Amino acid sequence: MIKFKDVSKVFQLKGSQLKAVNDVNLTIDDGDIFGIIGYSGAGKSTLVRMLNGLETPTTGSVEVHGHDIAKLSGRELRDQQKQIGMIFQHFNLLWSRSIIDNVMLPLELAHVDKASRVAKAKKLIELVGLKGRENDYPSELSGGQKQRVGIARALANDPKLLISDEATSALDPQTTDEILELLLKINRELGITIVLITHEMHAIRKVAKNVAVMQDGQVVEQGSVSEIFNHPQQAITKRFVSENDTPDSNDTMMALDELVERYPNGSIIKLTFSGERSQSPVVSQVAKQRPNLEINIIEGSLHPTQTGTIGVLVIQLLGDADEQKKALQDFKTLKVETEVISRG
Amino acid sequence: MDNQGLSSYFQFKNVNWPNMWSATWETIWMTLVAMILVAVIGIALGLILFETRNKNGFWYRLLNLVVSVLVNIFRSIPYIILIVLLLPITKNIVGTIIGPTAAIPSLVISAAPFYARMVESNFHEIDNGVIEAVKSMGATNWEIIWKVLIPESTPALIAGATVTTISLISYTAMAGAIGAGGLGNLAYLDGFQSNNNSITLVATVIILIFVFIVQYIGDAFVKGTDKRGL
Repeated sequence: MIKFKDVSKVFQLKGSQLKAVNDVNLTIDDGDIFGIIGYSGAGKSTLVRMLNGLETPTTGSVEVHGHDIAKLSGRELRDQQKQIGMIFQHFNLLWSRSIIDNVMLPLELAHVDKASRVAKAKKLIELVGLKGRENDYPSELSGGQKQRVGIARALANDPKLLISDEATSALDPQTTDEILELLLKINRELGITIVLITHEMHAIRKVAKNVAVMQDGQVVEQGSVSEIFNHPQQAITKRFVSENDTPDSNDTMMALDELVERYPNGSIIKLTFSGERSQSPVVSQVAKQRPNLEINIIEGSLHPTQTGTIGVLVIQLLGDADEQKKALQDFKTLKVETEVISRG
Repeated sequence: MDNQGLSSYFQFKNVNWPNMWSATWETIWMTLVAMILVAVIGIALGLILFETRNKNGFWYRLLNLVVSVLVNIFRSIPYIILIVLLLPITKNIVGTIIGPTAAIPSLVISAAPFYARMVESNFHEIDNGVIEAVKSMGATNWEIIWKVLIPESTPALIAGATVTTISLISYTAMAGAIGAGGLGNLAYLDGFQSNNNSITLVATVIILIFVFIVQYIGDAFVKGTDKRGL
């Protein structure tokens, strides 16, 4: 169990103060994958760095597995730090050490004997899928492979908590997904609590069960991922949610513009389905009810999250303006969220 | 004796070879002993400068101030003046002011600050994120020094040591001119003052070979320890 209680952090700058974290209260259950999302400068990194003593709160307390981290120092703090693993955006591996030596570093610091160190490191390297690369150096690996080494290293001391600080932000989408899969696997197989901070909604949706949204040092919204996804309250949360599933690629936008030009009387609607709605034939029901209306499906996608599937469908309605309005009402009755992207 | 023209450089029968070899040996000895001390003291001072920089607390600041002022002073004194300045201290430490051993204190005092600044900047070049990552694993400050700072900057430390060794070689020649022995001494006394250009030339060539060997060994070690560009 992790508890942030009334946590604030103020940095003293020359002539001014910066309140990086402002009165945060959060509880994270054991075994959870807890996402913290926010733009850079929102204070999320400062917040999680308090979990392993890299920062100390100015006021409030940070409790990790029954210890108030901020009150520990010296040996006690180092002992606690050994039970927390952390992975970083830029991997932070030691280039002077081979892969296996990198993974063994936390074990050396914990004074584990050599034979056990080697055995443990080999097992972890296999777990992260880098078997056979033990004696290579980080400079010989790709970004995704480096992050796998980072994960193996973070797991070396059998931590109860793994902190991921923008661990996928420097990776391409494909590699990001692979690393996220690996984090899921670790959470499932080893039962480790993962606190994941990111500015990518995609990462949250893919692995997190619960999420907190941070802005200007404060947690502005928190809850289960599906809840936040389906009913975002704050403007910033809505931005994160829509960033992820609106037809935002250039190609789609161009296609949409073309459609609007060709059918000036049609309207383009975005439908968001969640839970069991994503599996029921909503569109055909509406089509049957409104035989005078043409429905043109433009783009669709399914996003499996840890707490249920979310579907997004962009459609075009063609026909009588009144019928269009009624169809929109039909969707609402069927508990599908609608958003009009352009109206004819 | 014919001391005119290019041919004067090639009167090798005038060269006293046993003297030449013993002078060569003295130069190598002075350079190596001084360099070992410079490496140890330079890394220690560099570490102090690195660890106390931008730290709060009176003692950190005082230590940083004292070390950086001393380093800056001794790095700035021209070597030939430093030798003379240190003569009384040299006499106290090694008991004599002539011979190769007498050159060691002034060589170390002038080169160690030079190397200390290089060491400090080498440590600063290490990615702070890496240091922080290891700190987050519960490492002590000493563990960070031994497992991160020194191994991660080893190629740079060796490259700096190579440059420092080469300047030490030229310092030994200067020290030689005022009585420290070695090839500088030989070139000055037997070469210049005795109008024997061949000796000066041979001494020069030997010093050049020594410098090239040092550079070659240094480069080989840098290459062998640098795992970044594989």
